[in-house]
Amino acid sequence: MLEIGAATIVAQLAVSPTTSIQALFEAALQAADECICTAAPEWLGHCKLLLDTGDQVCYVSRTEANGHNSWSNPPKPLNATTNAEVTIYIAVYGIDDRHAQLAAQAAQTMLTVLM
Amino acid sequence: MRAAVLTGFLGTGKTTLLLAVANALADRGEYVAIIENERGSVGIDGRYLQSQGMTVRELRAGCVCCDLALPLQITVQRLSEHYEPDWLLLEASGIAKPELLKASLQHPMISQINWRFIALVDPVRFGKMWHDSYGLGQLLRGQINIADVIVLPKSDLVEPSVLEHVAAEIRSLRPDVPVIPFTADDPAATTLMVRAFSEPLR
Repeated sequence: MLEIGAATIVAQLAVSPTTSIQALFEAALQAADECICTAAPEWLGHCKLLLDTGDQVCYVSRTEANGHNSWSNPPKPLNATTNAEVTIYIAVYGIDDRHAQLAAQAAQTMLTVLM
Repeated sequence: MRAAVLTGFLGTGKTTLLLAVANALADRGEYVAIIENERGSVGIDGRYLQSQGMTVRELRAGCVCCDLALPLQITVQRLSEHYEPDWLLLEASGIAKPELLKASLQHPMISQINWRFIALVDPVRFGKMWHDSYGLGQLLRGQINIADVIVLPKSDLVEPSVLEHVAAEIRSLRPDVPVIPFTADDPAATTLMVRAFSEPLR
């Protein structure tokens, strides 16, 4: 039966003004995509990464293997080092528990790139 | 109170459409309440909608078609009675089984509400879903079967010929419902969506 394998991680991230949030987040998404592709090369689902600095909330997502990045509210430059909360959400369509494990691995991979 | 439920796969653009319509309704002075259903234990879409100034109730870590059916019915009842919104918009999870969801929303507790079913069909990933043999195709056809309106989001990301092909496949199943392309940055498309949420389009 069709199911969704999902994983979520919430973490704190110190972001300096010199960091390109857009590039960092897109690299993290790419890493998650590649991780999922190792076991599900034609995956469909939703990989999302949300940033909340208190002043701005933005998120980027990807919905299929080797897909394009879609931004809602692209990040604005920061004036000072900011403690932000990031929420990672990975959901992959599948028919067995393997996809839940895969989602968890991809979420952890994304976190590693961010940190 | 008017009510609409958005169905569609993960990443199809349900939240984007919902936000566009909710903003347009709010600009007309109408009060919109939103129910977000996400499978994860931490919500992203609900949080994003709240950051955009929307009134949102989240139902997480389950699906409103089955294990969260009762919480959904209670949430709908409480929102409609206590907040008296002009509009109630429900974003279903990407795995909600359409017939179960419809039955859940017809429960006697909330049966006075007349829901319009808006199915979002992603033209970018349509080929992978429509011909899928492990459940995606069946779920997609189920979403189309119960829909009052079918929306093709991200229509700016595909060639017109692809959009026509997708619309033709959908019409082969449901020749009786409108199939409407949508892009979030087109005000005219949002205006048409508000109409589609409100009344039958022919």
